[in-house]
Amino acid sequence: MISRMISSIGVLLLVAWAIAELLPVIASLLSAFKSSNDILLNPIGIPKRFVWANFAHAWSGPHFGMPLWRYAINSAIAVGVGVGVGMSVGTCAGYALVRSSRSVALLNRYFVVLLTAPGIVTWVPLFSLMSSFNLLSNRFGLGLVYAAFVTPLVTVLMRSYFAAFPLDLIEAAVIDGASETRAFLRIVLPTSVGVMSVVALIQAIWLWNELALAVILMIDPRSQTLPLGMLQLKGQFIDDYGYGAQYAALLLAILPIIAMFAIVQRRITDGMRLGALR
Amino acid sequence: MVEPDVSVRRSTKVSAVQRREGRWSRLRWLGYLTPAVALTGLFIVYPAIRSVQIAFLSWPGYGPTRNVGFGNFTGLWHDAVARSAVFHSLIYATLLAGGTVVVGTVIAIAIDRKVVGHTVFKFLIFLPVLLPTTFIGLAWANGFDSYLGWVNPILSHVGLSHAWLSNPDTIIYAVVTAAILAGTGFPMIVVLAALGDIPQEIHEAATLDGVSSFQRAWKISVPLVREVLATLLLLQFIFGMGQFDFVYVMTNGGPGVSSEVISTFVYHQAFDDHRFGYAAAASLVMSLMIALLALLYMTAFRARGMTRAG
Repeated sequence: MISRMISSIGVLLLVAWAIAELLPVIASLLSAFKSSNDILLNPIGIPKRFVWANFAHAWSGPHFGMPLWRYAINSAIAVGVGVGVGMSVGTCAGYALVRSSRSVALLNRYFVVLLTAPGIVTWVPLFSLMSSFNLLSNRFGLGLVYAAFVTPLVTVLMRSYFAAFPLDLIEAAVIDGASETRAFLRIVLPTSVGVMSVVALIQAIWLWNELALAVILMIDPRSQTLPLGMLQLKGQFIDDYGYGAQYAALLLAILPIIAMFAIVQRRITDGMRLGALR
Repeated sequence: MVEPDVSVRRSTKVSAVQRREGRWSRLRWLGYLTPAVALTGLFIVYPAIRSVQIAFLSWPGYGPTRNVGFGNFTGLWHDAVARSAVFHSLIYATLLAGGTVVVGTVIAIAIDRKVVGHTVFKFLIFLPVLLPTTFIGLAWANGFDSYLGWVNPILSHVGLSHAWLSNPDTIIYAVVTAAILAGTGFPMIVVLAALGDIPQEIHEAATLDGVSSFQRAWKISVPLVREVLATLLLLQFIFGMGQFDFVYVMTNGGPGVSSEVISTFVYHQAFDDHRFGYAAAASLVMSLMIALLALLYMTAFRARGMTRAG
């Protein structure tokens, strides 16, 4: 009896915490359909009148800025390059760390150290480096930087996966006359697609949300990624269209992530856990 | 630990592959590693080394440089803004690490006990971890607003309301509250996995012996995952010390410098005030501070005999 009471109090607390955590999403959902007046008088209630125009304004973006989807395309390019290049070099490196002799495998330490290094020390020199390459405000340039920043984690995750990979498979192929490279491309990679897609997905989410490097390197407004686009939705945008439109734009920007998480929840949480305790 | 006999291990395990190729194999694997090393070398290691160099310069980011020796570092020592930024970062990191790990662990224990709707809770509580910090920060910044916000209307039901983002004394707590709420999901998932590794028999035996639910949580679950908890505390603290997103989005360090943290300080010095040398010095000091704190923590942790790896 008492334990049942305790557990129902616990569930109530859980509900309260979950609501508090999700207030940004809940508030956006409620406010995205409201006029500014409605938000002012009724900040947490159900919309009095549904203002669908908010979403139209959100989609076309600020007067002086770009429509939301243009930011999304910039993000897609930078994230695409980052994940594509990062996964390619990281997977090769992770595989080599498992297969190579001990002296080469010392490089293992290198990637682990990089994982814990704070990114902030790179900001100032990275800006001048990209500037000297003429890659400031370049979506592909940002993609390369992103690739470098995801490579350590990809390498470490793929290494721990390959460490449990059945070597017999490769040996059999090599004895049959296949080259190591051929065995890697034809046997190892195809059997690892599942794991690689989880690792890639985690990097993609991280990069899709990345703010600091984009703030520093993407100066030209036309080159900016979605998080920077969201930041543009203040000031003038709110003056012109109201808070409701800002919430609508924020909502549009996060819907793809929520939908994706609902579909592949388990794989993402499992993968994130591996990343934390490698 | 006794080294395993390498030659025996090789001949049984990696035989065909490595015997056939000998020293070529080492070169091949180096080739596989080169792109990763080159990419990270160019965009992470080289900038990190270069920032040591820049830290001794007076440089606006373009044009000529001037060597100022340790001038930037002594300047930082006397800079009241830099000091308060360090102070704010320490508050932020401590509250973030403590808050997310403690709450995350409590929630993980509840979910591990299969409370009603545990799968839904797991989904909902982890969700904010995946959402852009920009989104969460902007939404909370709107929410904390004194006129149009939804925080005060909710809090007024319990008799609390406050000018959260315009009061310099409380602003950093408003930001860290948003960060804690958004960040519990990560420790929760990790602790949940660790709890799953505890054999069910232990709990069953304890329950038969009449150990209460709370005691089982405190005396069995928590001690058995303490290594994970310690690692998480360290990870979250380091993450908190380097935090940029929430502060930049919600307050940009303001009003004035009342919520400036180390990373926004570095950003403002470099990209608003064009003091690249000074900013590089600040970023170096911060990295050394984090490394030192992490080292201290791990030493203390090991001294108490809490890690197996030792």
